[in-house]
Amino acid sequence: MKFHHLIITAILSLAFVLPVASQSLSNAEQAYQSGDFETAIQFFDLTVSGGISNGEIFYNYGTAHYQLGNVGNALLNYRRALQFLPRDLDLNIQIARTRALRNIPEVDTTHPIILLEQMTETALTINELAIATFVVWSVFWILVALYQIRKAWRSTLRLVIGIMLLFVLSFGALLGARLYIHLNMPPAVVTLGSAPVYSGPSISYFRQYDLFEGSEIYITETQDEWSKFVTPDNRVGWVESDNYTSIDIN
Amino acid sequence: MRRYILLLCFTLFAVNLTLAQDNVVDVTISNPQPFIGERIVYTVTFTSSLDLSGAQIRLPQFVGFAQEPQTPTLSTVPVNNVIQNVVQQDIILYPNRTDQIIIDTATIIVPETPFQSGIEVTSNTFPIVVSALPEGAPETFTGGVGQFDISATIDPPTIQAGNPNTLRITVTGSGNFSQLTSPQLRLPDTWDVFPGTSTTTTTGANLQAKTFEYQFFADQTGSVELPAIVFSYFDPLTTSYRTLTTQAGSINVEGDFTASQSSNTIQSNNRLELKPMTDRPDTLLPNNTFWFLWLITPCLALVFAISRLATRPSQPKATETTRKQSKSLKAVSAQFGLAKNADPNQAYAIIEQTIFQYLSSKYKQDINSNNLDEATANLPETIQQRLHVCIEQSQAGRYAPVTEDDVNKLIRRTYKTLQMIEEERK
Repeated sequence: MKFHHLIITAILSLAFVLPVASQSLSNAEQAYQSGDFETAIQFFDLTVSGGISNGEIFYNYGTAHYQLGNVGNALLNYRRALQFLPRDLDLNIQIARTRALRNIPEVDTTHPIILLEQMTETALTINELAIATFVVWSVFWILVALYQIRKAWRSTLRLVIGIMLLFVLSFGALLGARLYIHLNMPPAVVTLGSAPVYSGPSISYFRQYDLFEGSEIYITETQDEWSKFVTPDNRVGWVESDNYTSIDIN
Repeated sequence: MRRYILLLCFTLFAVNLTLAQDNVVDVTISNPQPFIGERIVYTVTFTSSLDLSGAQIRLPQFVGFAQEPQTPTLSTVPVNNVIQNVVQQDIILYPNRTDQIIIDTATIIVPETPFQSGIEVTSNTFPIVVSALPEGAPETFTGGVGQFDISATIDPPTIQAGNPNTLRITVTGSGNFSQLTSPQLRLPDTWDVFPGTSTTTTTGANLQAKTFEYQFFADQTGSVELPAIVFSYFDPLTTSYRTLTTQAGSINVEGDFTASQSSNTIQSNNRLELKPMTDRPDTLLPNNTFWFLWLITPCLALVFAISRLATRPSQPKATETTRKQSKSLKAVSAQFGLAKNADPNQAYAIIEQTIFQYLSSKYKQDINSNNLDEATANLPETIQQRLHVCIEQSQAGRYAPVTEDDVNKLIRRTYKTLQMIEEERK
């Protein structure tokens, strides 16, 4: 197939997929309003797999699961929505409600990078945090440039540059944690009833404990069908990859 | 003579015997062929005539095991009528995978002290073959390997409807408590059950207790039966699975339950509002162009820094002059250093010679007493006078009795005068 054929196929696919996804959204909403949550979930699934995803869609998708008592899938989609709508009050309330419904005790986060990530998770999206850090970074370097050309301002600028450097380092650490988590240890949610955790990537290793539906984990390594994870309270183990779903939709 | 030879032989024998028994590191495992999860004890013992109070034991990493290190002990034992010091470290291990596992070497380090030389002794590696648990595990098996007992309590026995009750299941005995998960509960599906914390305590030598706590909400009133709790574990001594069952318990739920039930129903019927949706796709990360923008301001600062350096052309010249000046005066300082160490009369000759050398190099012509006035005519009068005084004193000093103090005074005066000429010639 020639290159221009490929482009035409891609354009045609988009032309068909977008209206289908858009139609799925209204179908999902209708099904939800009529109380048919299972059908609503199917339409939401069709929309997301069609490549359309934003905070509102994930919130509604999670809410449909929540109505059916699917704690794992509800939390998964709420966490996805949180990536786009971190300050949304309804969303944060629903996340707290869903977490309370899980049959697992609340744990304190002790993993340092996860702790750093959680400091901005409900305040800024990665995009917003990147822009804020960029602004602080730019101001810092503009001050450095002024320091070079304005001799009379130097004594004042020295203090301001020092303070700005602290801001740059703080924002840099927060952004670094968000990007590191996103790229190297993507978060995931256990969506099955329970998932046995082993000490290595096979059932011949010792079964250590079980993760339950709605457990939030961070995937650090993958080997074939097995994934190594770390929990917010720093427990490590291996689970079969079928037991969880990654929050990152890509 | 014969007695001395016998004594020498006996001493050599005794020393040989002592050396043979000295600095011995020994590793033992309570069971080199355990089942997965079975508790085994790894013991490293070091025997030596040295003082072991500061000895350090570098243990292997025990890859493939959960471990519980114990406190090392120090003791003395007689070996062939010689008192030896013994340091012993026990590690409790629980294999967590089936296979042949090689336990790495342990190293004992005795530090050097004023009374003894330090040594470092390493043990051999130790192979262990870990077997899988036999097939046919009961459904209620939750990973326990060892010898256990179980009990359960409910607190309080009587509650008001809608209030939580606490169930505590305590497993006691000897085994892999760190890997032990909760026994299965068989409470009715309609009850809300919330697992709480689990705590492990040591109750005696090799004996521990682990308590699992649950909060539950019964959905009936009156006397409610709680099913017995069944706990299965694997006993490595008998190589069989054993099942323990607690007695069935009961609680008394008082009051009216319908009020709390109706509030739950209202809550579940209260359908959550959906958010208005659009089909716009959101992006999570900034695009690649955004990251290139980060380079603009540092580059700007760099450009300003470079231009700042470029707008200071006169400064390098000044620096060059200063360098040359310091070079000329450095040569003067070196000469005066020689003068200080020389005989006073000779020192005066060096000072005079240095003055004329300096002036010759500065004025780029051969200057002596004859053409001095002509060459230095452009200098201020005060400097000319100082220069004349210095030269006259240095010439007069060669023919008069002088001391080291006089030399030093003249050196200081001359150096200051030459500095003034240097400044003047800028």
